[in-house]
Amino acid sequence: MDEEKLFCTLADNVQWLRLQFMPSEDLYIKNVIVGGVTGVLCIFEGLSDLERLWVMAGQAMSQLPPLPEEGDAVLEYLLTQTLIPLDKTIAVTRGQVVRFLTAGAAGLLLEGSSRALVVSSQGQQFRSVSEPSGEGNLRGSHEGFVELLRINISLLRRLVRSPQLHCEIQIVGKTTRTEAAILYHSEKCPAHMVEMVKKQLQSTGLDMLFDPGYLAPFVIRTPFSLFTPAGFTERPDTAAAKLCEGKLVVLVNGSPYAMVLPHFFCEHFQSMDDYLQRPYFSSFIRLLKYAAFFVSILLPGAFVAAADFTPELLSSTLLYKLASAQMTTPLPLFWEMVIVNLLLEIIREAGLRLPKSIGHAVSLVAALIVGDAAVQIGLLGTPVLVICALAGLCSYVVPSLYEPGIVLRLVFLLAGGLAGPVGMAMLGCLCLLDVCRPSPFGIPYTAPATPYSSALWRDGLLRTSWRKLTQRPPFTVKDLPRRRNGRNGKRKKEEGGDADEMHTG
Amino acid sequence: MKCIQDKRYAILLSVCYLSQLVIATARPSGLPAGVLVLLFAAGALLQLVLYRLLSRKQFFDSKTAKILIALLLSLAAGYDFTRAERFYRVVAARQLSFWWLIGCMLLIGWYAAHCGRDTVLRAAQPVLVLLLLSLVVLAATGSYRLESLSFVRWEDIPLRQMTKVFVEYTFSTELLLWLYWNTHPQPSAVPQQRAAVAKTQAGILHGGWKLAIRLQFFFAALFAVLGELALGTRAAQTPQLFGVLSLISSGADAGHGSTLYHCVWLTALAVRVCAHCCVLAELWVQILPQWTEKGRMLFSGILLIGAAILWEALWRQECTIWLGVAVLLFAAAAHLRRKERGETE
Repeated sequence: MDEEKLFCTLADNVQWLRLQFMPSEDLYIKNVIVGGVTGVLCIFEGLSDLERLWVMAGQAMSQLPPLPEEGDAVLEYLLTQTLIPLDKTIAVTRGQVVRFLTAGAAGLLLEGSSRALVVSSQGQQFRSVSEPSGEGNLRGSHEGFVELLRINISLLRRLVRSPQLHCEIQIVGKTTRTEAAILYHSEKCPAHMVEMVKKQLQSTGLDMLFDPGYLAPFVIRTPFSLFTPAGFTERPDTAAAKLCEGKLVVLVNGSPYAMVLPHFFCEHFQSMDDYLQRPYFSSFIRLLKYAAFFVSILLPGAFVAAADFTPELLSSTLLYKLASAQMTTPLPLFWEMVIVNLLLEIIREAGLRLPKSIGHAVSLVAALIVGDAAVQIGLLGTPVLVICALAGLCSYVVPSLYEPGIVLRLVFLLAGGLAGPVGMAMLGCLCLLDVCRPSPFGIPYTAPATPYSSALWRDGLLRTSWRKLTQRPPFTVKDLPRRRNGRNGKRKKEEGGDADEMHTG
Repeated sequence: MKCIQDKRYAILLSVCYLSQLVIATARPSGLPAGVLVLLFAAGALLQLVLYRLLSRKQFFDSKTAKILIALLLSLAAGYDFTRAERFYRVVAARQLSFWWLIGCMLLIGWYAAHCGRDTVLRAAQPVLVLLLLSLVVLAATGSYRLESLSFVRWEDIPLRQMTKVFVEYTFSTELLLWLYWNTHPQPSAVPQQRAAVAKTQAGILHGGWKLAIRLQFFFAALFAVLGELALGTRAAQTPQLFGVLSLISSGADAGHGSTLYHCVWLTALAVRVCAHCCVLAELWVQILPQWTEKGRMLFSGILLIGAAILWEALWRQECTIWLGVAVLLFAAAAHLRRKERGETE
């Protein structure tokens, strides 16, 4: 259907339209006479603003000079000679007509013409640009992406006013036919990366697309990996900064999230505030975040492993308290820890999906039953609750790593409970291998920590001052995949595989 | 011939060497620190000579050599499994089943082979940092007495024991790993690219091995002396010297931090296993190209388990020396073959 041309007669075109969309009540077809030629004006109610169309184009259509009464001539005149202050274009195929109409444009079909004039009269309802819910900042911009793709693109274009900022739009999703935009800085982003992402998006085979998250598994083909080199942000300023670093940003119509490719592990611990605060404080906060992340995944497992396998690690006071708490509870420490961790996740999930008013009630019930009553009647021990609460609290410090964090916490708990410190060490090794896996972009996810680069201290683990950061040329991902070759330290781009040595700016 | 100055291989080699140093064979060396330092120095010198002798040419093209190396590496990885279990038996109060450890190590080895060499090379970097940190802290926190040092009486030193320590120290399978990496420096995802890169970059992994050998010697000598400073003459009779030092280094709060050391060392040993498994996976692809990946992995797994069981059964027989001898013979054969080829070319 996509490539088939429109019919030459109006009746056939209207019948085809009705067959396509009927019984859709929101398709509005109005008979009109333009320049003495009969035709129809088609829009989808709610998507297109009829009033705007009338104000902008209606007058021009009704006051045409004498023209040959042929559809094509009238369309040509409307397209080239009138001053309708709306974007106009001609649709030739039926697929184009469907695409434009469902995007909110108005279509004018005239008798005797196998073409349609498309006027962009979009008047869709959308959420206004507001502060992002998941990425709050103390200072800096308070804007967040919205659900409309064009507005999101404009937010980025406003921040990166460079002719090298390219935006390519693809249609993804066989049923939804959703627009997905790929934005990149043509000078900073490696061409092979752009080509790879474009190719992957074209071959997704998705039936529907509502969020860039649908696309991530197609671009990053590591199905069993806990960590993926794709990041998500709601903030235009963050996305703009990533574009300036030579990364790709993928936006999808209908989603207020942008997917950033590639994304590094250390970026989970960075925020826009880091660059607005004093370097010592930003560095301190980053270290705190790293510590919180590792505490959140390791603490319950380490506690159980220490208590069950190497009690000498715990101080005698703590050991005594732990033993006295365990005397009153029916379950072993390991199972208690597993149950409380699962309960915490159930409470979180329940509070998240329910309406806010009920969500508060869930929190209250959970706090009263799990936190108080369970301890009082001796079902759970206080040390276990404290450890789980601490780990849970720490996991909220780095929200973007929440999903792998939860899974890792439970897996480390199992490893620590079943095999003690050895189990945890072995699992740690497995996780290390997982996080060091080659990235599909040829840029290591663990950069700049391993392979090591001094950028780790400049703007990775710590952040130095802007004065120091600006002493080097601005960092882009093009700086990453390099390999030192030969005795004299000549640097040559690597031919295959991942980056060996990091030379970041 | 181009040279590759690649720190990553040096780091991985260092982790491999240091891990087998900290998680040693269960049997004590039986030698005083002075003798050990001399043996280690001689071993390090010989290693430097060996690496230099074997570094110049590719010889790794015959199937027999590849099979031999694969078998030796399987034996070495199997030995690591047993060694980890023995180490844990000495240092931990609560024991784990032998099969638990084998299962964990096999899983890690399989995953490393699945992810590829680049992954292991990257993973080795943070592990080396942790390993060095643990060794430095251990060296700094122990309680040592200078009067514990003993004078060497050469007439009391058994030659057999000296030979064993020397062979085990000098001829480890890291030499084989390095020989393989030297001729296959950069595996690429694309076979054509892999071949092209191998052709242009085959040569010396320049300089890296020197760092690894020096690090191994430094820490081996340092802890031989520190062991004697801490334990006196009993150090020579102590199995798992590093483990015992870690247990007593915390003084009054005995064992408070030792588990952390043990975790780091076991992780380092796991990285060594990963390095072996990666090379094994690459070798099996070349030896058994018609097999499926699953088939090769299964075969390799069975071989490793078999090796581990064999080592467990032969633990008291001191057979590790034969692994060292086999490595030495292979290195000699490689050198002779290189010379022969050099002459004919």
